[in-house]
Amino acid sequence: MNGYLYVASRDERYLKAAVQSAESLLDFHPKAKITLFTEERWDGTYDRKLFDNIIYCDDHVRAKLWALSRTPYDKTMYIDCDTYIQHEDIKKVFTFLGKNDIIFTRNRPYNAKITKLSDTEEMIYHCGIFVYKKRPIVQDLMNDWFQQYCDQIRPEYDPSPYPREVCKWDTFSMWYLLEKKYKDKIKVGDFPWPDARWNFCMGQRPEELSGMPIIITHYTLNRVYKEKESFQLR
Amino acid sequence: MTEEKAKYRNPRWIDKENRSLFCEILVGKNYRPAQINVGNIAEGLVNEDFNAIMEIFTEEDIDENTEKHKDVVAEQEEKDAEQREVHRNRIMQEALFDMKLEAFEIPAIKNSEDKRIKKLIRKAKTQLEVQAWVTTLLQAEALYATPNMFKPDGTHPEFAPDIPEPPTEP
Repeated sequence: MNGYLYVASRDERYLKAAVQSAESLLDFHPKAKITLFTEERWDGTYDRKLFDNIIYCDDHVRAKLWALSRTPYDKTMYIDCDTYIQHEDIKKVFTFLGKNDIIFTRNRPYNAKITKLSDTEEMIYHCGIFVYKKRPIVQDLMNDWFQQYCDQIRPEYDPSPYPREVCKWDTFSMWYLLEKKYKDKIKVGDFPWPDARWNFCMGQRPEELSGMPIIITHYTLNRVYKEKESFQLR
Repeated sequence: MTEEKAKYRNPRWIDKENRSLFCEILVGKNYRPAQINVGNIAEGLVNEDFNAIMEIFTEEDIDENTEKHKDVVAEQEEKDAEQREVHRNRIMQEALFDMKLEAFEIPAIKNSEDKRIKKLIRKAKTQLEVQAWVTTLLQAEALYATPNMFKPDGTHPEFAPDIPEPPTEP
């Protein structure tokens, strides 16, 4: 069975965003199987019927990474909460995995805070939306992703030769693992061209869609909600 | 022993013919940006800093710095233009996106069973399209799907508050 995965923890705004995103997903794919990882304390504040599974997690800053290996699906599409589905093609996403273990969309250097690590090394994959298979080695990668992130945010972690600022990005953890530990062990691929329609981030050039409709819009939660603060930040 | 810092660095022409140049001058321990304007040589004016610079640097050095700086400026302008484009795109995309989110906060739209129009709102590429489909859906909901959103007299509880009758003349 294949399905979609959201993780909303720490800040209730993520939960509200995940619910809105799941609603939009169901408008275009009414039979979609959706799993939500969230915190128990928010029970009763949202419509549980939207989700096939609700699994409780804690309020770790990257509960996302903890949740990934615990997916109930054979093929999973992980979707950041601050997204919005707007096309029926979302149904087809699992067919693009093919022989790959995981597929990503690409970062756009002009629209990202940091992508380049050195003259020859670049974090090319966007880690906000991806599809992956539930194979033991992929689950290992996901568990390592969580561990690597926890390690790299500790003050004593030495990221050299890379700059200290990369430590706050889980994109760096994934890049590091794919390059240093899982190279040639995991088959990594891309979303079909134009990949921009699968993860259209605010600020991205409309030309990148090549005239094709957007499937997923990816916004930034803080900007949208800054004027509408009705949830408590912890 | 500390090495003595050069008094002038990075001179480049602003207007070579009129002996106007930009450079950095050591003031205390720090370099400060400075513009030196002497004027056309025919005017016969003299500037001590300019003369000192011309003793340290050849005209060719300053020509080369000037060309290099043009490349730096061009590169920066390209980056700025790219950032302006990203910012412009972001503003437009966020405005459209905010409008869609707001549309789905309207109970009649959120709870509507009309998936066809709801999908058109979600897919809309412009704010005008969002507004048009929102209006269409609200109208359809009001007329056919959930007519009880109106009071028995046909007024909407939110849009048509009861207005008290004016007092009659005795």
